[in-house]
Amino acid sequence: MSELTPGANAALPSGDLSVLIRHGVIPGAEIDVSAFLVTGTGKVRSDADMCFYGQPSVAGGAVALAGTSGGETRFTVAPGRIPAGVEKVVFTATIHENRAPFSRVPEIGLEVGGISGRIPCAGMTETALILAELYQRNGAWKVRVVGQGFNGGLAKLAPHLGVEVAEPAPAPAPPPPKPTPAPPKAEPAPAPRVEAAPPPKPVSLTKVTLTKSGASSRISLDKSAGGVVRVTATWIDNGDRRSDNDDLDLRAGILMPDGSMHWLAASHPGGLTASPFARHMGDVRSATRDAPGTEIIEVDAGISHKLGGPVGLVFSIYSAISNGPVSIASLKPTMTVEYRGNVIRCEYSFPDGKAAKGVYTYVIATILVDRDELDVKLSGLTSARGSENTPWITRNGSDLNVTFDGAPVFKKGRTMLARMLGAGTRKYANV
Amino acid sequence: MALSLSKGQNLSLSKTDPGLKNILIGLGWDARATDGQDFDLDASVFLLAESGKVRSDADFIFYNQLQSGCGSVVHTGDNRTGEGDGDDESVKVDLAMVPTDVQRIAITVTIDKAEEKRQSFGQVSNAFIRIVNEATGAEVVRYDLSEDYSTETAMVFGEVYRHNGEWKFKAIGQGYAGGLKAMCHQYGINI
Repeated sequence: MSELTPGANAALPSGDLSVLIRHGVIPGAEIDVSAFLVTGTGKVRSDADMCFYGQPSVAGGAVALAGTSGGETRFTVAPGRIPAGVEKVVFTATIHENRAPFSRVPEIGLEVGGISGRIPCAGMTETALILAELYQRNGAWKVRVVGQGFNGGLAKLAPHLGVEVAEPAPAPAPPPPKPTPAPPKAEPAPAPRVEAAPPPKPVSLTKVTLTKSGASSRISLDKSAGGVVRVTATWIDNGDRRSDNDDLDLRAGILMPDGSMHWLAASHPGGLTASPFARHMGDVRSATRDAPGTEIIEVDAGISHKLGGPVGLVFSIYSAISNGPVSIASLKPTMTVEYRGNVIRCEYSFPDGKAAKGVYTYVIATILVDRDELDVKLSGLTSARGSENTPWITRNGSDLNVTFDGAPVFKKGRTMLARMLGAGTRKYANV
Repeated sequence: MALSLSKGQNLSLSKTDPGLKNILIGLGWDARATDGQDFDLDASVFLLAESGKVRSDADFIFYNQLQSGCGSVVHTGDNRTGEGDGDDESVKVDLAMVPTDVQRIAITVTIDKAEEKRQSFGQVSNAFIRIVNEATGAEVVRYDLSEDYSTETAMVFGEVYRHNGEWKFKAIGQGYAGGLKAMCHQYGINI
């Protein structure tokens, strides 16, 4: 089987396809591979036709980003389920923040339906490449290797494919002081006025990684688009060959505009249709090397409007007592905050080893939602050794201050112990 | 609506447009939308005798020799990037003036410095050839090559040829490696 070079095309077998792209790695520069479903004009119908890290499954799963690891990205494509009107699936590779040109990898390989292709990258100045396209010809699907792109990266590539890209957010900086919000009215709020909805803001492709305590980044929420902010905590198997001690819990304290704190955990899942407008998606009890443990909290993007003021959230990871003396740090917990293509990764390296012994709660980050602005700030604080106290937040303007004097909260059945321990003095409104 | 041919099909120009005397052969392709070196495509025309070869170098019309020795074929000039609407390069032919021992007029397009720039026709989008009646401006026939090429660097787009006393057009879409040089060898030009 000969290899396709840029410009060459070949017919694909019928049926579902797996698309493997071997792009390699560039130290210090992340390569993102995406797929765009385009019409005969070469443009997407809407932002919903972009399959990328912020939207891994599109067109009802017809095209899905199956995973990235070790310099390879895999997609699944079900040509039979691709919506009518979509004529091509365009695969692209972009280098995050244009940190390097594609000449830094020797070549990019492609495998689909038993056909392989190769794009030599020597001398390339591009930071965004159209790798290949799957396209319909006389009712059958074919693949063409392209290997052309843009020096200006994703910001230049996206409009070419009909996607408007929001300007990347400026480098993380301390948020400016916010005006004091109007005091809540004593009388019942008037019925919301129906306003002409402004057009939704374009999907942003900003991706930020926070690694230093205190580092922060902002996401602008889109009032007209609504939706949820998804907070995902992930941890790995700690590699000690035991599967019974990898049980971490993602928990959150929600500081309401009235100053009260609301507890959110698998045992107190909350809800999106009423206060607190945030919900815990359920408990996951162990991690393996192939399937990291993941717990998710969803927050209504309109939470601040719905609760009538700024809302603070503190996200922490708690090690279940059944884990025994395992250190949370050894499970390398990280957290991502995602909203409409914006991705903020929180990757604080918690200290492991002796210092971590007997530490049950790690605070990954705080989030302040004030109307349409969401600020994520990396924390890295840990509870005192042996303390079951929960992290508590107080707000001073746009600053959230974390202290470890919240009352302990245990899973169902441990309330007696909680009462006995009762060291934390501050009580949650819903526990 | 002009007729559109697929690869290998032919059409009688004389029957389709009986008044046809002077034709304009329009060739087009889209400028590259991406960054990188422009695709510089060059149209060349070879006047071929019965043997399938040129009678002399004067039968080779290209960017450095814009008119055939006989004066019947005129190349309107080189477009270096493919920018602009419509035809990117065009060639005018006065059919009555074409010497009687010229059987076929081969219209070819090659990519300049293709190997050096690592370019091929598969990277060029929406290439076409069309025949227009110069007097009326009406398009007589068109052939879109988009799916008939791949990694070639030289393509015969089409041929205008004599058949039983009439002029016909054939959609060829045959590609070669080796660019203009290979094309010249094919048709008997020594360079």
